[in-house]
Amino acid sequence: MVRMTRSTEQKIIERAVKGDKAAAERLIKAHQASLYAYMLRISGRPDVAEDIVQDAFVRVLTHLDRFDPRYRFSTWLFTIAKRLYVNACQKHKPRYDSEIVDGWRGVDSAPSSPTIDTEVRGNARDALQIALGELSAEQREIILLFHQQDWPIAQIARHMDMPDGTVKSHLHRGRQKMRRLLEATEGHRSTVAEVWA
Amino acid sequence: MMRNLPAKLLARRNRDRAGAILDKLDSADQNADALIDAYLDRELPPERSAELFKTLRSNRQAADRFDSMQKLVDDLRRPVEAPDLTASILSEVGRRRGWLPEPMRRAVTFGRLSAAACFLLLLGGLFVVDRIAPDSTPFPTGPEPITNLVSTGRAEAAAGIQNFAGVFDTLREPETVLTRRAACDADRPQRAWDSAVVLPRERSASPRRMQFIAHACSTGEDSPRAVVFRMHMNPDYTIRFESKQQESLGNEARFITVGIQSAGEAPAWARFARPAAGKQAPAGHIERE
Repeated sequence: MVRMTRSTEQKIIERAVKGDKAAAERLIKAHQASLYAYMLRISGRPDVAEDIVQDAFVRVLTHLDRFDPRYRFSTWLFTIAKRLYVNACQKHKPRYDSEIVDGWRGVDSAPSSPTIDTEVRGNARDALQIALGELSAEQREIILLFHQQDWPIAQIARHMDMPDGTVKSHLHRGRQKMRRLLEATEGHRSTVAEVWA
Repeated sequence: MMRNLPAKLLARRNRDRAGAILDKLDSADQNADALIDAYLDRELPPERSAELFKTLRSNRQAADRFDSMQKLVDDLRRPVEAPDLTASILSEVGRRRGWLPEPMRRAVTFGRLSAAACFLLLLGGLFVVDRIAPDSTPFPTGPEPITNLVSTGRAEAAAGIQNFAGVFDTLREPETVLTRRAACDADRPQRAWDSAVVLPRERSASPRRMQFIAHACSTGEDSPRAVVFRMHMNPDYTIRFESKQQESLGNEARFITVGIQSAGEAPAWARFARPAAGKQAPAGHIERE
């Protein structure tokens, strides 16, 4: 992921608005990985995440002249991506929102690398994804924006249109719930490991 | 009864002590959780970090909770291998709105600047023309009531454009006037000072140059002659001819018919009697230069 300052990003956006393809390419390179990771965790499905990322970027770049420079580009991009995901869920119900477990087993859990370490990491990721799926939509989104995307609380509050305190409350509750779920999964896995040992 | 009393008191005292210890432990746990949450929220001040780690060293359960939380956060932050969608996104956006190469973007910028410069030049030119020849521009010379502007706006605009074009235009051909001759009421010539017939009062105060179509009728009904005049409309309602074709009126003409025509509208015709020889023309009279 290519990090850039807001002023640099603003200049790039201005160039992209004027039709500069290279500037648009820089914008995509800077944000596509984080948006994909976020959508993957939200949807639990790589194909859905890929579709949403592509649609969100196409929509944003087509209407880039409407971007309000007072806000962060990432906030705008993620908001559009989220709306697209919600629309897609409504459109393709129940295919998209049946989520989360079946779709994604991690990028390195392919049959070509069946090592124990890979298996363990794949299981951990599954457990994480399952735990995320157990959260409410708000909790899931807030936890991902805060811990995965490193957004500050204030930015999340603007994005979610809720007070800072409510964001923090969702964050704490979501984290506690995930910890309990993961501990339960961990306990189950230990028992299975002892049986196999 | 007496022997049982100390045992009951002892049990009660033990219960109280255990409760106090549990309360203290709960309080310690709550404190540890608050510290952990603050740390994970990136809101724990550096001076309290030592307190957190001291708590974790002394409280095994809190340390386990912290460990699992930290692991959870690390898992969330673990990078994901994302596919590169740049090419497909750019191609789709290019299909929808198109990308401009660098020279083309420069050309577009230059074109926009040129258009802006042309517009400014046009405004400047109009301003200069207005200063040099105020009659030839459609700009008002002074403030007017908004009601007048609204009611006469369309006619003013049409007349203004016509007048402005008239600066460069030659006199019109009289055929267009002859076709409208049916409107000429030869039996009831109007008085020359009856300017309201010719000019609606709302626009009579305009000192600007007006383009009139004048139609002169001779005395002999069998040989009407027509000519087009360009005239000035003065603020005091007088109308005077500017045309050099006034000779064509001939001495025998007793009255002329003047039409005022706005774009897209039928001309309003008015007829003016010529002043009797030797008499001074009243205000609003059509006079020959």
